[in-house]
Amino acid sequence: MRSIPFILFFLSIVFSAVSQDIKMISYRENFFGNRFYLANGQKVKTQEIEEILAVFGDEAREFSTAQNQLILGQSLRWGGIILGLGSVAYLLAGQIDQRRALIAGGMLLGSVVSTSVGFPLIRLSKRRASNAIEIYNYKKSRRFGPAASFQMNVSPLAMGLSLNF
Amino acid sequence: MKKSLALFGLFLCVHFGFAQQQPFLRVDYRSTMLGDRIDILEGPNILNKQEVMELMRYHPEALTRYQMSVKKQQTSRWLDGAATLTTFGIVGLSFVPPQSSSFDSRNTLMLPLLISSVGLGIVSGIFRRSSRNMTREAVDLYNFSPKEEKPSYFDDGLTYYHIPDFVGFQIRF
Repeated sequence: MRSIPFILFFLSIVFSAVSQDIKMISYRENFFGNRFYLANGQKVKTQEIEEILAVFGDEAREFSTAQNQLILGQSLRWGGIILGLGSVAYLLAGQIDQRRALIAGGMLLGSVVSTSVGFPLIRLSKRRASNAIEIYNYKKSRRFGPAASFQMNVSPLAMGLSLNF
Repeated sequence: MKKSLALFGLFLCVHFGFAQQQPFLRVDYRSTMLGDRIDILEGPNILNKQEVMELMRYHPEALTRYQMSVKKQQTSRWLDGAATLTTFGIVGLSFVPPQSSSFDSRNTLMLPLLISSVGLGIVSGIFRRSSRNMTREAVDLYNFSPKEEKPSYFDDGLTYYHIPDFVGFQIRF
C-alpha cells in the first residue's frame, strides 16, 4: 500500500519523458503584410505547421484549404496587376486607334475583375487559417486529443497529480 | 483501505464539476474606413478594452503589450485620417480648371500633397501591422502563459472534469 505513491511518482517521470511537448502555433505579419508562422516562438515553414496541425484532422483540412485559397488569391491579384500594367504598356506601345483602345480597355477590365476577386479571397483565407490555428491552440491548451498525460506537480504548499485520459 | 476508498468516493461526489479555467482569447481583424479594428474575443463575445485589461491584470507583460498595441492603433487611425484628408485635397485640387486664377497655387500644392498622402499611407500601414502583431503577442502571452493556480490546494481535493473529447481526474495531495 505504501508503495503506491512511489509507483505513481515513477510513472509520472516515465510519462513526462515519453510525452511530447505541446506546440503552440502563432503568426506575425512582415512588412508586406504576409504572414509567417511561429511554433513555440520559433519561425517555421508553412509545411511544418500543416504537419503539426495534422493531430486534429478538421483543423488541418481547414488550414490546407486556406493555404490553397491564399495561393489562388495571390495569383489572381498578381495576375490582375500584371494584366493592368500590360494594358497600359500595350496602349502606349503604338498609335492609339479604336482597336488598340478596345483591347487595352478589355485587359484593364480583366485586371480589375481579377484583383477584386483576389483581394477578398486573400482576406478570407487569412481568416480561415487563423481560425484553424486558434481552434488547434484551444484544443491543445485544454489538452484535447488522443494523448494521455500523467503529471506530477510539486509546489511549496502541496504536491499534485493529474491524470488525463 | 475501505475507509480511504469511501473518502475517495465522497470526494468524487462533492467535487463533481468543471475545473475552473482561464478564458481563451482570440483575435479578429476588420478593416474599416479609418484604419482597421482589432477585436479580442472570448468565445463568441467581443471584449471591450476594459474587459481585456481586467483579464490581463495578472499578466503584466501581456498588459503592456496590449496597451502599446492600443496606442499604435490610435496613431495609425490618426495617420489614416490625415491620409484620407490629403487624398480629398488632391481630388479637390485636380478639379481646378487651368483658366482659374488659383491654378498656379494648385501646381505648387499638388506635389507636396501627393508625397504626403503616399507617405502617410505607408507609415499608417506600418503602424497598423505593428499594432496587429502586438495584439497577437499580447494574446499569445496571455493564452500560453502558465495558468495561475489558486493557492487553496487543500480545499481542492479531487477534481473530476469532463469536456468534449476528454475526461480528466485531478487529485491534489
